This record gives sequence, C-alpha cells and structure tokens, in this order.
Amino acid sequence: MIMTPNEYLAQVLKSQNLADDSDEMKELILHRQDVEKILRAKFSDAAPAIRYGGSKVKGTLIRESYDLDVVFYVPNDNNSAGETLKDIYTNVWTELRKHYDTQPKTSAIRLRSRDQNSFGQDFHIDVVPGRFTDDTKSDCFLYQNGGEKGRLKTNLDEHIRHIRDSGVVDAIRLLKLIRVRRIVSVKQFVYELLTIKLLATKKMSPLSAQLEHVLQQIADTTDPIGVEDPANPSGNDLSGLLASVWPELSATAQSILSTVERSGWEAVFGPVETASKDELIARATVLAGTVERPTRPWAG
Amino acid sequence: MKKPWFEARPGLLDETRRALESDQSDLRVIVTDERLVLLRGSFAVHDSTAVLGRFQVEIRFPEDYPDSLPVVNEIGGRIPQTQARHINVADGTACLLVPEEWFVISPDRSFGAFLKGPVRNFFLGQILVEGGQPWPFGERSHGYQGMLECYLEMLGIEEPSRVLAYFDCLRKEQLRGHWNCPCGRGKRLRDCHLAQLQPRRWTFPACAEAGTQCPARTSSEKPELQFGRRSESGAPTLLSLHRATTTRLLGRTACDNFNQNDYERELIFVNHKFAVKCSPQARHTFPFRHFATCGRVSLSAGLPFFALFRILRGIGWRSKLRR
Repeated sequence: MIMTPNEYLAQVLKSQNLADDSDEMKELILHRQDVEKILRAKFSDAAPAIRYGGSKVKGTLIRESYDLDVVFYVPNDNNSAGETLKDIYTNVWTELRKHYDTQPKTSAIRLRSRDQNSFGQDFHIDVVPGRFTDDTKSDCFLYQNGGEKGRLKTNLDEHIRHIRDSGVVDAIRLLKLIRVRRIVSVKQFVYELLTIKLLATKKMSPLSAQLEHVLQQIADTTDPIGVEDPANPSGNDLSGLLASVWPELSATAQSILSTVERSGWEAVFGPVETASKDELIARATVLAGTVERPTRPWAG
Repeated sequence: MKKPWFEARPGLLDETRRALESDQSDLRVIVTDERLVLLRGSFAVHDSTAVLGRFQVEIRFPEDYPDSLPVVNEIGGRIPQTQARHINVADGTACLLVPEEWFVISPDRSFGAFLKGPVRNFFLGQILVEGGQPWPFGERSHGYQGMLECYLEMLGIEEPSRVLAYFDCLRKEQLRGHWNCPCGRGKRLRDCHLAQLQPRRWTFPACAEAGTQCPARTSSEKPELQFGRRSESGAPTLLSLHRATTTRLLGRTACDNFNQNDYERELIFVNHKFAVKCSPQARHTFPFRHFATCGRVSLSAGLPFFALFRILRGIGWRSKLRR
C-alpha cells in the first residue's frame, strides 16, 4: 500500500506508542513503585512530594527511548533530606546506590540494574531531587551537577503544560526519535522548547511540513537559536546548552533533509515497526539461518 | 607527527561512509578534537523487510585502523553488562568474536563487511538471547579458552597441545616434506598434513594483532604477506604475526583481566615445560624449536640434546635456562 508522507509519519508515530498495559510499561511502573518505597522509607521525615515527570506526562514518550522521571521534591522549610540542594542530591544518590547501579546526570540520577545477571541494564528511570522554593509548592530548585550556577529554577507543572499543550507533540516525538537514533547530545527539554518556538506559526501545517521547517531552520542557522524556559522565563539561560551542540544538531538536520529530498521520509525512519516480540524472535531465528559467515561472541 | 589514518588514507573514511549510507543510515561519523573517528547512533538489525531490533552503539576506530578492528560499545543500556552477554565488564565493550577469526573466514576486509558480519551477528544474537533463545551460532568460552577453541577450529585440529606446533610450522618460509608433522602423530609432513597446511599458510596465523590487514587470497594469487622479521613495506610478516600470537598466548597483551599464571598453566598444557620457561624471544632463537614444539623430542630426551648443542656452541645455556 502506498502511503503519503503524512500517512507514513502517522504510522511511525503509532508504532512508537507504548500502551499502559504493555510489558515495558508495567515493568516500569513496578520499578517506579520500588523507588518510591525506598525513598519514602529513608526520607519519611522530609515529607517529600514524589510524582511522575518526564515524557510520560508530557505525552512525548516514544517506545524506542522511554523513561519515567520520578521527581523528589522536599518542602522549602524541611532540612531532613539535606541542608543544601547538593546535600539533598547526594543523600538521595547515596540511598539509591544501595539498591541500584546509579549514573549521575546534570540534575537527575539514572537507575540501572545491579543484579548480577542483568548488571547495567537500564531501568529507564531518572530520579530528580529538588526543593520547593516556597509554600505554594509550584516552583522548585534543582541541583545542577557540574553546572555553573549550581542550581536551576523550574516549575514542573508549567513545563509539562507548555509541552503537552503546545499543539506540536507529534512533531516533538518524531524529532525525538531522530535525536535518539542519531544520538545527538542535545538536552531533550531544550530540544522540545526549540521545536515549539520554531513551530509557533506552523501548528496547523501537516506533520511532514512541520518537521522540514524545524530541520531547515536548524540547518540554515549558524548561531544557536535562543529559547526561553517557560518554567523560569527570566532566570534560566539555555543558550549555553544549545551552543555546545549546535554544530552537531545542525549537521544532523542537514543530513536528514538531504535524505528526505533524495529518498523521502521512509529513508529516515525506516520501515514501520509493528511486529510483536514473538514475531521478531521468529524472524530473527530465520535471519540467523541465512547468515553466510557466522561468528561467535567471545569475552576477552 | 604521524597523520591519523583517515587523513593518510581518506578512501577508508569514504568507504566507511558509503557502508553506513547503504546499511546503517542512523550511524553518524564523528571526528573528535583528538582526531579520533567515532560512529554513534542506532544500529538496526534488519532482515529484508523489517527492523528486528535496534541498539544504541558507539563504534570507535582505533588510531592504527585498519591494522586493528573497531571497538563496539552498546551505550543504550539494553544489554546487561555481563560476561554471559559477552560484554567486557571492565569497559563495556562488546566481545564480537575472537578478532583473528574474522581475518580467516572473511575474504572481504572492508568496514561494510565487518558491520554486516560480526557486528550484525553479535546484535542478532543479543535479540535472540533476550527472547530466551540460545546464541544462534554458539558462543566462545571466555578468555584464553575461547581463543584456543578458535585456533583449533581455524586450524582444523582437535588437540590443544598442538596449536603452538602448528604456529611454528606455518610461519616457516617453506614447508619441507621431511619435517615432522605438527599433528604429533610422528609422521613426516609430506606423508601427513602437508596438503592441508599449505593453503593455511596464508590464512594462519591470520593476524594475531587484531585487525591486521591480510591480502585477499585465492589459490592463484601470490600472497603479499612476507616472511622474515621486517617486510619492505613495513607490513607485518608471518614471523611478527607469529610472535604476536605467542605473546598473546602468554597473556602479555590487552587481555588484562586474565591472570598471568593461568596463561602459563595453559601453556604448560600446550607446550613443553622448558619452552614455557624460556621467553618467547628465546623460543624463537632455540635452534631445535621445530623438533621441540613438534613433540618428537620429549623433555627427558630433548634437554640433554639441547645442552650438548649449547655447550658445543660455547653459549652459557645455564643462565638462559634458569631465566
């Protein structure tokens, strides 16, 4: 069946959905519950607000790179989880390290398995410790690991609302898929803000036109395009986050556009992946049978 | 300053780019400030119509590419970092195969062939193992044992103690029919394995240093691999390759996570005791290495013979033997 570019892109998006009752999501939720249990048991005096964040609530989740942010915000007048932001981050990290293989990120802590049989396997969970700025429990400060300022002001609800209600979530998801597959090292939240800014006047355009517009703008601009953080419009300078990755982002955009021009979107996203796990295994078994030069894995 | 490989041989980088365009378009070529070449992106395992799985990878080209194979890391956290899944726990690199094997089984040394061969096979295996299936082509034992298995298979022999004897034989400038056959049956080479060994001389020891380029070989082609200590072109020779293999067997190369004693114990199993006591260099200068490693001269019979020879040559053999 021949599809139009937009029909094809819609199919790609559909294949990237992860239903709540999927095995991956069920497992994710179980892990998330474990994490919450660990944090509540250790920091019960801090009365933390533990909530979902990240792509799941923003609606930008893709199957190929799904994760669940677990935000851990303590009240502004409670020091039992740590006096400073750095203390809170370190204490949460220290507690999680007892149970997981942890990987510190800028403001979050990535959790991986430390079980002997699955060591290092990603749980797709980021824990984001922080502290509310006041009693309204809306704005909060996050510790910035290695950041110049040492902290970042944000507002989770505002941020989620800005992305979820942007009207361009589909474009965000497809551009995220490109970022994930090409491993472009731009921060996802900055990339999302950039996409929304560039599509401010193109919300009604077809999906393929939206993607081409964003990519063309990125490819054509030598200097990074400035974006504002709606969660802290006057405070967070995001230009540094984009400046360092702009050449990479720009080159990737150029390469994608050339591919689209030459061979269409299917050459970028490949065949729509709809097969079930069992089907994939069966096909992989057949493929293995056709391999001309089999090689065996070793461990040096 | 020595030019990096991609400047010295720009065609290789172009070849890499072409291979990616045709098969793995999500992998990007990155040249770092340190003038290293990386490929980063999603590696897709696909059949003719569908993608069966994707893995986020980083492929690093070594500075001496193409003399060494690129190193692959799965960076997406999909594969557990365990030996059971053939990931080096120390650095997260994927153990695609015993590198020498690729140079024996594949006439095509291009990056595209490497990508569609060992890399694809490795990730295809990961998909199946993840789904509860066995490794599709089997798996090698870890460490030295796996290397030995590989060598045995490449040589087409079953007796581990004969591997070094075969190496010694294969590296000679010429195979002479009156020599003892390295198989250890006690027959002359001409009456035993000469016919099987002749064609293997150009494939084995293939390239003990992983990734060393060997010429494509057909029976009619004159081999480019040269003998002696140094070739005119500076390319590895059979002798240097053999040395590298022996050194590797002795555990003095990159296999850091294995105990030196384990290697020596294995070598005792593989070779004669006095050969183990000597350094690899000493073994190469030992005038009767051929007999010694072919197992015709037993330890009890070989030593007096060896001693007599040394005395006659007026060399202080005692100190050497002690070392």
